[in-house]
Amino acid sequence: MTSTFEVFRILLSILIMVFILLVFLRIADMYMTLQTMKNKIQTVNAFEETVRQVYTTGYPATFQGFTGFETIEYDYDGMGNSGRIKSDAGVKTLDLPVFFRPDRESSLALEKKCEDFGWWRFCWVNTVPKSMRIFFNPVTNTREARALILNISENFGQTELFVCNSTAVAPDLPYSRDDFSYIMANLGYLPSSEIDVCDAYITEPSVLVIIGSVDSAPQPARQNIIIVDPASKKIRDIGGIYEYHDESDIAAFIIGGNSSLDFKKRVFNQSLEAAASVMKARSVLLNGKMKILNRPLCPECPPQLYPKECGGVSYNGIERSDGLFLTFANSLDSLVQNLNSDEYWDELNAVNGVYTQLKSSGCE
Amino acid sequence: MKLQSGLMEYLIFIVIVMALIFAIVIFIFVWQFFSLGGEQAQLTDKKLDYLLDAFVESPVINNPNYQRGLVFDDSKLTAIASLGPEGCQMLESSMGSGWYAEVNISMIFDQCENIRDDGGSWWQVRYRDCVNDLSGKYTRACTSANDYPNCGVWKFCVQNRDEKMKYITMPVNIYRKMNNTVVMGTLKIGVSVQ
Repeated sequence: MTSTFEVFRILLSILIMVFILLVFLRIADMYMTLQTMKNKIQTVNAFEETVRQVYTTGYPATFQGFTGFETIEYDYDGMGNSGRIKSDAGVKTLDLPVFFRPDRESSLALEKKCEDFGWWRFCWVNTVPKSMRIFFNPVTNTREARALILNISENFGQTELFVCNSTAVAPDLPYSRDDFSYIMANLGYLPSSEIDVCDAYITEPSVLVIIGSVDSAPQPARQNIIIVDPASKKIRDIGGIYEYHDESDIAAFIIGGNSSLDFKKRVFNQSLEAAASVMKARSVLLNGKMKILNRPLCPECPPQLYPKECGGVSYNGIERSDGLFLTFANSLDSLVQNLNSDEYWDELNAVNGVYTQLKSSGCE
Repeated sequence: MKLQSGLMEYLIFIVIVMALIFAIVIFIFVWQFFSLGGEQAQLTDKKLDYLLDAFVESPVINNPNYQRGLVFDDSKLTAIASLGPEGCQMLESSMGSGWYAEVNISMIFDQCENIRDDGGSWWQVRYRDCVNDLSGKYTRACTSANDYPNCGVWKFCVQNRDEKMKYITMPVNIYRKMNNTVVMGTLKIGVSVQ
């Protein structure tokens, strides 16, 4: 016969077993959550590391992606020049200019691009899903339109590119870049009237880029259709019409829409302003100080091999740079003052012109 | 009495088992915590590596005539240093925040400048006359345009400097714009350890 103690012991044992089981289940759950979170944080950190490597080395890379993430978004810090990855692992700010189209399904292609102005270089990293394809539909089939397509395509070195005419898409798969270049070259023989608006149903993350007039071409019906108008330098998507300046602006728009284009303009201006202030300080520093010996290193050399003179006043065999650096500093000043005006690009061209003069004068 | 001692024995056994379970749980979480700390240290190292690369590559600091980078332009260094916090902010916009950097000239053969062998070909430099002179002007900090070019130490983002920093140092080339020569220097970067 079972004693009271035996009954008590069995009951207590059952109670404690249930308690221990619950505790273990809770711990296992917490541990799993912690591990999953840790893995996700590691993935985001690894992505940041890959971005930095691509930015500093210039070599394109592939990132295995954010599979397993429930959410992954990328937006831009309204004030600063940084993008933010918002995911299950929290918010991660990227210090570098990165244009990023997140995708949870596909691996990502990363590529560094730069605009070189001689006195200053602006670089950024394009990050797009490997599964993204770009379909060009040159409704306006001019030489400029074709050049524009080729220039845009240079921003997407690892992306598959196609030309779409009506419902036909060329080149057919399997695809190579040479096929695309061949198709592009042959477009030159085709009049615009023979190219129809692309009706092929293109699903995201792929993008259809129509080269035509933002007013006359049919309006974009879906998020992944954009119209680029080289004549008016405008881009249209389902949300509205925006201005662009060059192909890198269009590439930024293709990657992340208007917010990406805004970010590109903002970060470009900030970087330009910073570089201009450094170069201005440097020009003021060097103005009047810089002396280059006007003595050829090899007296027997022909004059064209003489070291270049840093133009300006000649005094006792010493060439001084008075004036040129000051002109450069003034042009930089004028550029910074007109950063948000219509004369902005003219000012930038003027600065580039003075810098070219500085270089040809042997001052740089 | 026997019943009571049996109950006590059983309770003590349960308490020990529970304590063991909690010890294991605490161990697992402490281990996790320390492994996250290790991760943080790795992040600091990675940031240092990145900053080194960024300095070496940055067109704002390097001389454009050396396409592969790694040749700092002393006039650009001075221009940024003379801008003070604004210069720091400018560098931080492309390199991130929370770091301090210092560039020093470490070797300069003063007497070699513009020396040629009178009797031989034009490229023969008389190395026996070279003196590594790091006294005086090359140990002075370049903080304003007035110091230039008689200075050889550049400091950036001094306001970020704190005691808990991890440093890395590497040799660099510094282009002396006024003399059109390249001298040896060191780049020291410190990153805040969180």
